Amino acid sequence: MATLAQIDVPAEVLARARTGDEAARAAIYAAVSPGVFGLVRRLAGNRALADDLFQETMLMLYQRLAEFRAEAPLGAWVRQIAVTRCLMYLRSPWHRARLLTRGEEDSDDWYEAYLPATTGPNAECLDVERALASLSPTARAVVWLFEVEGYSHEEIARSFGRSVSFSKSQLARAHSRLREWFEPRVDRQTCTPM
Amino acid sequence: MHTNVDQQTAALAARLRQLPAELPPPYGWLEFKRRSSPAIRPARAAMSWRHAAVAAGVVVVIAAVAVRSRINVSAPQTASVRLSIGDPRSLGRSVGEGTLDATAPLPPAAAANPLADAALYANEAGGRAARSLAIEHWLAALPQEPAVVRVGTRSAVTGLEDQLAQMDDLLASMRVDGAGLERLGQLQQERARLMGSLAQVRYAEVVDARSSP
Repeated sequence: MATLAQIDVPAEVLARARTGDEAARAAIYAAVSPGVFGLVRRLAGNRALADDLFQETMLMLYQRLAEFRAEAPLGAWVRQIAVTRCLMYLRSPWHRARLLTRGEEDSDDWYEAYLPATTGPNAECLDVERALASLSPTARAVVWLFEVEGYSHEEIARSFGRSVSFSKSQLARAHSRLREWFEPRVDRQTCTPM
Repeated sequence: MHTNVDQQTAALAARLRQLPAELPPPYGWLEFKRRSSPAIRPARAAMSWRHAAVAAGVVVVIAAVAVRSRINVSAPQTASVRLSIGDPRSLGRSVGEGTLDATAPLPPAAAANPLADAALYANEAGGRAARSLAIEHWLAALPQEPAVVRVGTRSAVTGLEDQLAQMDDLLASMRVDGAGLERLGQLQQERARLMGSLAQVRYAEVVDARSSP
């Protein structure tokens, strides 16, 4: 399965989509929307918020399609839009205040709803999703961008508007937390077959 | 020990990469289109020359009115108001100059006369409101925000826009409550300062978007 950054669409479809062709726009939606939602869902961590950020990202894709210069795959361009939208949310004072007041309410068990339908009875995936959801939003975004999306520390720092050491420390913290999660513990039930 | 931690970290990374990269989106194309139909029509050109000319004309007229109204009331208050469609730094400077003027002590003759005092404040407030309006027109003439933005710059823009919205709410409620001209003038001054800052950040964002590959 190609990652979002690798997804591309034919130039002819892009050209038709720019003129407002309905079928071409639908084809682009079908090609990139699952990857966009997968990325946004992991970075946002909250279902309702992910829906909003997904809508914003897709909206911006169509509004700014004329600006896309096709120097990289369309998916890479859309990924950058999605990451920027998500990080803007993570940095906003409103979000920080909401986290302080709502605490753990944001970490809903969304993965249990989709995993059986999309990947079959994959308990390992479920466990990893739970571990990921246990991280703070910033640490989760950093670890996902670094380990899965292939961002460098410099790129993460630039995206967050912070220093490289910020990215490294967030990643180290996330790794430490995830290692703890996967260490065998008697007081936590896991879906992973032992 | 380190090797053990490194191995665990590598195993973690492998587990993360095994997660499905794609998830079913919350709705399909038709629902997306229904939710955003007015917004996803083919984008118009960001800014036509006709729009730019109209915006420039509006700015010049407003600036002329502001300068003339300042000259008519009082000679010491005739600070230069320089508004330029091309360079927001001049907008920032003129706002800054206005700030300095307003915080300076009033001339004794004007301070002693309540009517002259009120006229002066009204005129000052009018000048600041005109400057705010001029900057708003300048901002409206800028291209829309780029698709890929820097988070820091965009956060600064949204922060300033939030503060401006709060300021507008405050101004509206103060006017309804019949607040004094002096207080309204201070709020207008603060609003003009925020508009100046917003213009400078937006200008930097546009320049950055044009220069980036």
